[in-house]
Amino acid sequence: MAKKLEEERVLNGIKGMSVEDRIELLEKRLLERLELLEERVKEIETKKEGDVSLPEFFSRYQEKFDEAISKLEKVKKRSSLPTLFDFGKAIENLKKPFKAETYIKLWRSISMWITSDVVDEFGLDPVFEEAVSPLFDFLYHKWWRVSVIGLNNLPNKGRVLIVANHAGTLPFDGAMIKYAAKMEHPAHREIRPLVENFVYYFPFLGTFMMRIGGVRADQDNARRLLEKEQAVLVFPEGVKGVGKLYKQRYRLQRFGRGGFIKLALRTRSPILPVAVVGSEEIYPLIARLEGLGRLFGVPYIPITLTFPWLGPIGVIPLPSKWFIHFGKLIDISKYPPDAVNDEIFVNNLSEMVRRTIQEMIYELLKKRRSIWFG
Amino acid sequence: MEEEKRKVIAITGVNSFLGANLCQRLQIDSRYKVIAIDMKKPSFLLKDTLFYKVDLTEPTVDLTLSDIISINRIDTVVHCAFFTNPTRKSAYAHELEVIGTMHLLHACAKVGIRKFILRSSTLVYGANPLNPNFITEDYPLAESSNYRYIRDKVEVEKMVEKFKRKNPNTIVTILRFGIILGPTVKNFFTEYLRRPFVITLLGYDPLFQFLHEEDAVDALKLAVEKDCDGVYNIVGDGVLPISTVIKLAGRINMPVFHPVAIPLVQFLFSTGVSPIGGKHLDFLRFVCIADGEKAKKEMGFIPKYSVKECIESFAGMQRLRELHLVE
Repeated sequence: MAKKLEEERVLNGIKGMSVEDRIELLEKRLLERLELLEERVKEIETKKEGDVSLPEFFSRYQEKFDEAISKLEKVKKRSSLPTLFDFGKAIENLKKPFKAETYIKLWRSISMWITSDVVDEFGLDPVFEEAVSPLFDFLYHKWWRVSVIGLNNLPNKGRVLIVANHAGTLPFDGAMIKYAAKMEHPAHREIRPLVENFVYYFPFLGTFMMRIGGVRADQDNARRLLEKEQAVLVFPEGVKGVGKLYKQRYRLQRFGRGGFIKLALRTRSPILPVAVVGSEEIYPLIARLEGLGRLFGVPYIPITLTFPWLGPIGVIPLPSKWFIHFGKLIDISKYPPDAVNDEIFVNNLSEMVRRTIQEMIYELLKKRRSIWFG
Repeated sequence: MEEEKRKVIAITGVNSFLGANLCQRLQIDSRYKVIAIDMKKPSFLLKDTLFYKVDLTEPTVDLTLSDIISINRIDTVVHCAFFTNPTRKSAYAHELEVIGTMHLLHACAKVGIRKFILRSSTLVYGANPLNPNFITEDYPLAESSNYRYIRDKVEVEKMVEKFKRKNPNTIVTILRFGIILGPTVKNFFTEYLRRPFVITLLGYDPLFQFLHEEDAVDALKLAVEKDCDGVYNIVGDGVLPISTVIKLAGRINMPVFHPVAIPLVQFLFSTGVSPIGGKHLDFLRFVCIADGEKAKKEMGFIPKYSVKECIESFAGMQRLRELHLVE
């Protein structure tokens, strides 16, 4: 009776034990039983009790023993594997697919993926930005090996309107300029890039842009940011620039209608010209399908060497070597604010900024020996 | 003698959330005497608060209203008789909101009222992809919206503007309230957040702002106390993406591809399941956030609750409601 109770206790205890301990225990108990059996056999042999003959007696147990030993061997083999895991946990994992809770938790973790409870007034989510920064880190240091020139031209604080050339089918150039200022600038300035309307309201992409600090390109939004002494990045070429064909590379397009000049004049912000080289080669654009694009609500469908032929692989940008040149600040404080109304003056100033950036691009291209190695 | 010193305030639509709360605040304030106007008598009226049963959609109601105003020597009219939620009875909504306001304005013009306060909403800007992130009061209203609920509200504002042009001596205050959230308020947004699964649009996560119910009533009372001529956005501080709002409310978002979601939600709306119609889904796609700077500077209205506190105060009370601990 006492033994049975102890056995029960051991069996109960077994559940919480590790696999090795359990096997050891089972082995010990098996040996004990064997010994008992041997004793019994000896008893039968010596006393010759009953009618049972020995071979018959053994054959009755042989099979069961073999079975038990082979089972033990199997368990031993499995437990000696390096990827050892907890049985309890494994069973829990097996049960998981049958619980609603699992799916709810999974859905929550996917749909509200790394977001914080506090965002800034334009939707920048610091937790999200931090979480995706390894991706930009990889692109910046490993993939495009960005070289930054003249970053000290970006003032440490105060409003500034950064104007850059736009290329590359997807607006990676904005992300790289932003990342350069955030990581390499002594003041770690946060640059707010203005995002095209269609990108900002493009499913998923727009939300992503908003969370990492993009702001919809709008005069009111930009003015609000500049009045709060922030650095705003604009691409006056807009969609015309980002969707240039490969044969037109590094040829700056028309700079909108001078909206950025008006913005700078109204908010009295200095203009910082920036030239990016290398961004044109990441997706060499052969053609763009504008009619088909309209069907999907985008300005065009890009056709590159790899997209859409290779499917998702075609989305991987080519690893060109990038240079980002921050030029000299253009002071506009010498012009009166009411110069905004002089369209010819605005246009001339816009053209002047455009030419400055074009010159900076030429300078960088002159020195570039290879697209891939710089 | 005492009677004459008290300002007489008429509130139309005292059964609405803002009307009821303003009435309760003013009738215990010794500076004011309240005239309550609605179709049904509310239970919270005190003894010296007069109640008039008026149906604003009746054809000759303007004469009745002008009589009420002149007999009681009403100083200020607070117009709150509006649908706070999108309704399926759109023809009646048009009658009540647009025609009702027209009758009331006729009566006010005839008597020459001193002050007129309109309860409007930031929905009048409409959800438009071209909206700036922070809309100021002078931004054009969504006049040509194909959403009737908004078009009616815009029409009401236009009428009040016209009234102001014709009666320049009357102080006209238009308060555009943001979405009101709080422990006791019930509107389409609290209804939207009440269910365990909440529909959102796949790939879109616009920013939202909220106004706490206490702040909303404070702002309305401030407009009664102070003479502020003009249009004011009454909104809370801070913005949050809708996914975070749903997370804070303890709900699960259910993103639906928008070409599917619009007819689906419209169907659910017509069967009475969904509190919003398909056309309202634009607000889950594009930002419509108002800038509250003007109210802060000119009216001195400072919201006490941040956007997160608004959601938390609503969600906390909702949890108690689900446990049947409160009504």
